[in-house]
Amino acid sequence: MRLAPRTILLVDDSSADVRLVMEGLRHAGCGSNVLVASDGARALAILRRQGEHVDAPRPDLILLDLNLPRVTGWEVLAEIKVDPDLRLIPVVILSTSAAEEDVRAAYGLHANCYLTKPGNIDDYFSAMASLQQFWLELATLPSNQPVGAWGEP
Amino acid sequence: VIGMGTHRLERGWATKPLRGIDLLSLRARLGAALAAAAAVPMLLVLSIYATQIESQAIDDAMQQQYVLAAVVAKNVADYVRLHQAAVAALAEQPGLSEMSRSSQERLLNGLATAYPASFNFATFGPNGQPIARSRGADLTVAPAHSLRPVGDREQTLLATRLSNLTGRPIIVFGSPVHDAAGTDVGLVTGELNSAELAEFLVQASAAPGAEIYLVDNRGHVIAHPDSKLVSSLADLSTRLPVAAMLSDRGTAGSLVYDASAGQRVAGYSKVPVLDWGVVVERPTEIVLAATEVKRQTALVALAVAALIAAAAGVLLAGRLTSSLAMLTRAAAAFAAGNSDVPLPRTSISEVSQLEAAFVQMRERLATRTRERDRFEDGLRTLNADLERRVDERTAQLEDANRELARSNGDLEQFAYAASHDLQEPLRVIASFSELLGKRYHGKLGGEADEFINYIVVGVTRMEQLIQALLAFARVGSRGTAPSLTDCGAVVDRALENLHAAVTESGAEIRHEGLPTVMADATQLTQVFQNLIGNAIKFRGPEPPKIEVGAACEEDGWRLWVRDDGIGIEEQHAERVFGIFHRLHTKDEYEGTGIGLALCRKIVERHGGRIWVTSKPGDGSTFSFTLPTLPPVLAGGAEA
Repeated sequence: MRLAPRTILLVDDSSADVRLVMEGLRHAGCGSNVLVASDGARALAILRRQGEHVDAPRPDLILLDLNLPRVTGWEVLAEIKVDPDLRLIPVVILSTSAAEEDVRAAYGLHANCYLTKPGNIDDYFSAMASLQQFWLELATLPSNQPVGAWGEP
Repeated sequence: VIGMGTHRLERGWATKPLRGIDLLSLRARLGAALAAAAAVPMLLVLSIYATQIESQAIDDAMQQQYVLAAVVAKNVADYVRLHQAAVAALAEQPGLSEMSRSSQERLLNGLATAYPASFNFATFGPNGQPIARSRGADLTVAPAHSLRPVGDREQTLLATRLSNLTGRPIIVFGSPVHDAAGTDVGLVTGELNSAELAEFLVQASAAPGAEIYLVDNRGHVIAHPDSKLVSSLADLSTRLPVAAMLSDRGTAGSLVYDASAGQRVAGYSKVPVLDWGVVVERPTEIVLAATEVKRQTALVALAVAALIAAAAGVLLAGRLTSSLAMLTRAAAAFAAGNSDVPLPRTSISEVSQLEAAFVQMRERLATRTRERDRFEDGLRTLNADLERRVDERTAQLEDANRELARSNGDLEQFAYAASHDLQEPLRVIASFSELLGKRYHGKLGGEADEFINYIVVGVTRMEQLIQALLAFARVGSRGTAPSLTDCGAVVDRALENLHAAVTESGAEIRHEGLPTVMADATQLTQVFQNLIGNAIKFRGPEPPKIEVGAACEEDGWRLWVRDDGIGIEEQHAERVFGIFHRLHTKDEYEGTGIGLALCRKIVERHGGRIWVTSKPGDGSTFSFTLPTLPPVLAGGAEA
């Protein structure tokens, strides 16, 4: 059974990287709705439905780059994971760094997955395909409806 | 005792040597010494002198007394002889024996009154019967049996006896009476009262304390100042001077003897003809009384002389010590740093010598002190200068260290930036050029495909270089603290990481006898991995044979990786450890040129060194050293 299209929040300041992720997802046959935030502040505004993002949909999955201008990916991750509502949304870190301390720090902030962006395009597409397959198809994610909405007609 | 000790400590003669009356001071000592020096010989002389004057006085007394005795004896003798002659003359009176009793009595009374002294006469018949006597005559019986012949006058007889009338001694003279035919027809006697003789003794006893007495031939007292002795006709024959006189063959003598009342000096003389004796005695103390006065005078003189000597000594010592005290003050002042205190003017050659020596010492010391002060000043300046320079240098070094730390930090920053910021655009370039190649392959013309390929290769290479540089930069900062590490296990892990290369090359790798060392296991793994990896990479045509070994040497462990590969020319042996240094083209051998630089950095971080010995074609041996374990850890590691 095919579920309703998922919503993904992609947080990355590099339009090239955004494009690469989009290409990768498309290559993997992903039909999800992708929201893009070019910096941390905007990502948090979308998640909290602040300002112009009042009507923004609640994402099912967040793809987060750590190296962001102004509010960094680390801060965004920390904010999400201390918020009792937002922390239910899985966060997948997309980083160029393979450094052990970065990996440990990210999981320490309760990131749900850490992916190092492969340098090679084939590996990149393959990684995007795996990501699409695991997180958007295989894994069961919490409903993006508020908890209190359950049981209402 | 404790109090005295404390007192002496408080007095501290070493600190206050010349104040008050200090019995230990030179002044007091010299005064006492001079007084003693004056007094002792004088005392000695005085005692000899005193003994001499005493014995002289005694000798004089002895002499004087026996002369006196002799004089008295002669007077007594003359006196007695006078009366004796009178009796003898009476006895020779012609016709005496024919005279009637009353006639004789008249004659005798007449004679007796002619003598001023108490002198009485008596006549006796041939059988000793009394005939007549003068008034006052004592004798009633002829004392023929008690009379004895005296001297050359055989006709004269003498006896001493106590008077029946007065109870005092009387001296009895007797002369026989002869008739015309010379027949002994009777006896005439004369009685002389001894009191008459005592008068002589009293007259003679001018010397004070003198006791003069007269004894008869048996030692019985005839005359003595003590009337008791006289009235009992006391026997003094045991008295030493009397005994001496009685036994003396000569006429006079003297002696000193110890009586019960003390020592006495005695002189004696026999009375000529009569065999009596006169003794003059005096107690020695009276004899010496005069000399005692002399001795006391001498003692006073001695004391005065000693006092004068002591005063002279004190004065002399004062003069001596005043210059010494000045010298002491100068020395004390000098000790306190003042070298200008005036010195005493003294005529005492020892003190002036001492002073000269002190002045010399003071000048030398002052000179020496000035030199030393100058030297110390110089030294201090030098020290200060040195300290300042050291401080400056330290500051510079600290600056340099801070600069170095900062630049190291910058390098870390750079490395981190390289990993994120530099790699990011590179990856984008790589990704899109690959995507371009993938999506438009064959659509843009052959040349475009070739160019796109170069872009991809170049970017990939750059990514590798950046990764290598990052790894190199992280050796110092990202390493962990050294811990006990088994090199055998480390090599095994390196071989696991190199599994693909080992399998592909068919390398034969042996390792044995590898030690346990203190090291960062991850970095040590990297060293072995790089060295073994290189050994495989630069192999010869045959499957490589690689040996990993270790030996314990003087400066620690030497570990090595020996191969039979292509080897390195000697002139490159050092350069291979430089960063990004390569001996081969990328087409011949892949690689970034960072591996050996990384190895060197890791080994050096562990306190060791790394080098290669090689011969082209014969293979290479990469060696490095690591410190040995401290003994305690070495024991634990083996267990």
